Amino acid sequence: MTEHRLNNSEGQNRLTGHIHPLSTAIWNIHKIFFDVGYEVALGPELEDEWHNFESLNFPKDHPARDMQDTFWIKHPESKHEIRNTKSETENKKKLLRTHTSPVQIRYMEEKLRESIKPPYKVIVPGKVFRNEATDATHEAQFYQVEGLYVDTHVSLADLKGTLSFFFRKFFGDDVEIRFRPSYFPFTEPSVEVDMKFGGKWLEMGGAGLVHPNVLKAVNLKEFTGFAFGVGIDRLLMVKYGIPDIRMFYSGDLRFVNQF
Amino acid sequence: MKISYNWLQNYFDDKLPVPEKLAELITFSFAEVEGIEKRGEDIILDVKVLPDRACYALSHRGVAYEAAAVLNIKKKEMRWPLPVVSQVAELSVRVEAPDLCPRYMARVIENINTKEQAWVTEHLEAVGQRSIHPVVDGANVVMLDMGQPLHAFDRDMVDGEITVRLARPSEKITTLDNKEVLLDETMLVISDDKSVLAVAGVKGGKKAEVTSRTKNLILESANFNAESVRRTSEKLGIKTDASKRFENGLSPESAARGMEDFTAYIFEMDKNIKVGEVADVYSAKKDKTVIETTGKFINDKLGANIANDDIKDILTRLSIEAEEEGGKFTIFPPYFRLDLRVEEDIVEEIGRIYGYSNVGAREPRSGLGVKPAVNKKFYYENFIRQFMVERGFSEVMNSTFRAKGKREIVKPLAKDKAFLREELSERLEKCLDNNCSNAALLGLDEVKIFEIGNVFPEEGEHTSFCVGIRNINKKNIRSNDKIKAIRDDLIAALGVSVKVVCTVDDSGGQILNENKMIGKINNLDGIMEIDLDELILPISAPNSYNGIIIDQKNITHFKPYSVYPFVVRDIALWAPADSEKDIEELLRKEAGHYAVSVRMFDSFVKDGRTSFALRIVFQSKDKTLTDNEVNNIMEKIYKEVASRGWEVR
Repeated sequence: MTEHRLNNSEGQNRLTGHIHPLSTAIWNIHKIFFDVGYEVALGPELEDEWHNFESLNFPKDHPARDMQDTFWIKHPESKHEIRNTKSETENKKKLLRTHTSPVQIRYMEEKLRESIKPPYKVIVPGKVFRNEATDATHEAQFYQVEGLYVDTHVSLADLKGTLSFFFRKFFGDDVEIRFRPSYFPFTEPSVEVDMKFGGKWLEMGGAGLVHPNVLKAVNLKEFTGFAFGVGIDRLLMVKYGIPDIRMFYSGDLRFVNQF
Repeated sequence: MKISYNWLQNYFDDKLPVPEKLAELITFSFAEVEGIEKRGEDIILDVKVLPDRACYALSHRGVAYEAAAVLNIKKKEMRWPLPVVSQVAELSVRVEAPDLCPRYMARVIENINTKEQAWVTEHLEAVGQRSIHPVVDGANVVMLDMGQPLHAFDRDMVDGEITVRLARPSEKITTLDNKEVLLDETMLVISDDKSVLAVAGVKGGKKAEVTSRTKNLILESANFNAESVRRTSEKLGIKTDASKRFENGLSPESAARGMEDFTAYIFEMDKNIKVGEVADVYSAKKDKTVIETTGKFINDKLGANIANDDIKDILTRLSIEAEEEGGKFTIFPPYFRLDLRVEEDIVEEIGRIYGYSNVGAREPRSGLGVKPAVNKKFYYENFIRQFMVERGFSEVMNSTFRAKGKREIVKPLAKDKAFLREELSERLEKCLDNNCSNAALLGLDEVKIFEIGNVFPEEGEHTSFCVGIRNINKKNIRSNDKIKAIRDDLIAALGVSVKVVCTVDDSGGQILNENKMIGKINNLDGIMEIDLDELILPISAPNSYNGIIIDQKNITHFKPYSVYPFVVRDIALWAPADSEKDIEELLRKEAGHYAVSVRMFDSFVKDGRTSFALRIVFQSKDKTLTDNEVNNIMEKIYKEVASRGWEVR
């Protein structure tokens, strides 16, 4: 290792500690969006089926649910597999949220309880879970940031402009973005977002215009909106060349103290 | 879905673009092409068809339809000649559960004598399937071509009539792959007068399997309820090409096309067959979908300015009938496009064919409107981060999954990940252990860490804040005192009025808020954990984020760390008082590239002489260093130190 590194890391160690790169990234993302009017909303990691799926236009027994490998949670008392309980508790079935999108719904519900109508501009950073085998690029837990803008005339051009603004602020002015058609039950149209970074196109997240069924679920059907979701771990892996997503959750200061 | 390029080309008189180009066009207008692979004379495109388009695109015809739209070329109608219907043995069909089976079509074909055809085997093998029997192959080829799952029974093995019904309690079927499967009353089956012939839409049974001895057939082309097929297939743990298509939803109209194509296929191979009438039980014929929208709506959604004529043109390319008058569109999707239901669906159709790259971008504007509200919890989490880091603590994040806990996962990834964490302390203690063993490498005398994360007790969840301190040398320093200092400083900084109850020697204790226990101190040695939600509950939300400064250190690239063990060597020497810098420099130079850290850890003056103690950490990126290697380096260092006139102690 070089002498430069040596001096650098030692100097930092002695003076201050280090914030986990995910926390720093979340703070920076917040700052970027705060400047253009977005507030932060947080929500539970242990979510119910209605908020994670139904309200987001995922029908029951629909293959769209396969796109999100879910950790279901057993009912604490009965110890029975909660997936088999009967209809009255159906929508209360607990799971680890598979995305931060349920907080969209929670946020809109809360605003409406306070009789506050759109415009809503909110970002939701938080931990999400997927029941899939782990490797260097997949973890059963990771961080996502959700963005939601609801107003009277929100278009795909607004979405593109906002994401382009965000990625340039986060990665530098020379990045470009593009959209590809995709499918998410809670957006229509739905797109994949690619970013050109270091000469390569990389998949960065999903986005789209909020599906009318989602707005209907919270009684805002006269409004329009866009939503997007971006993996924060992935942002950092790309930005700093971090080779393995599991490093984020290793508790290892050889990792954290580099940031 | 594996799509054969040659197969696709059959749909066009025009030459398709080269596979790479075609893949790109498809990716940007329809669905991601995840792979392009050469197989013999053919090229196979792996098209990732998502659930919304699975109703038509899990087929070569569906992909050809999309290729035609994006390329703006004409797709051929592929139809083979059909045989004349003749008198065959009678077959009656009864559907007892029409809600789970909107359409059931069956037809008898007699006197078959089909032979394997090279082109069929080729087609199947191209997309990774194998040839089984000419009739079965026909069902598969037609399904891969046009998307409708099909089935054939040996007529002579069927006892009496065909009934589509729910399975009876404890009813069983032996499937085509010779597995005995127990059914339940929620599962739809195809049966004859005696027993179950097939699990509807999921898997065929052994009883009426088509074999080399089969002379007469019953062809089946049906439509089954998507949710029902999915539930059954999940319960039985059987996923097939058929169930995958049914669970996404198919149009009952496709059943008719499937029956036609399947019949024509068999006739194509064997002109001597006798083909009976189709028995068609079609209970739930749905009205055609009609969608009304306007050019303005579409353009408002896309943020584009597409002329009505261009919208019309795109719809035509997608075989979507539309009437337009003064910008108002009345739209009639083709029967197979079950995914088109609301006007937003039409927006997507226009957008993707028009090209999202042609849609503009409108940047958000800053400084307009009201200032966003401050999220109290987000504020205090970051307040605490900043507070801790200023005091030399580093933040770690650990897994939510544990081997023990109160909330259990239904299907965990592993036994030791079967529960959600109830607290952070235990894992933080492990983190202290692990990082202490790397302390020399990290250049630390003391490991100071914290974590903020959600925990899951019996009920609900809350955010927990956990601090851990451990001194490497363990002498003269009590972690408890440090924890106490952090605790008191933080409470003061937050301005909360919590109570701390401790043991007499302050070695352990609790943090109380209005007599409710919200935190534990030194439950584990040198560790404090507090319920952060409860801690900040009494304080009000600040009105701005000012004062929180979280900066990214000046890092541009992460440096991977070595997986090999490191070796620590200390050296102490007498040298002139002002030579600290020179010593470090010399050591670094002589220690070479294996030295990852050189650090002064002690110096004192005695009898007018100054003693310096330094610690050198050696580590290789690609091997375990031997004692010998390190000793040789140290020898070199001693020599060099002596030559400077310094004296090794």
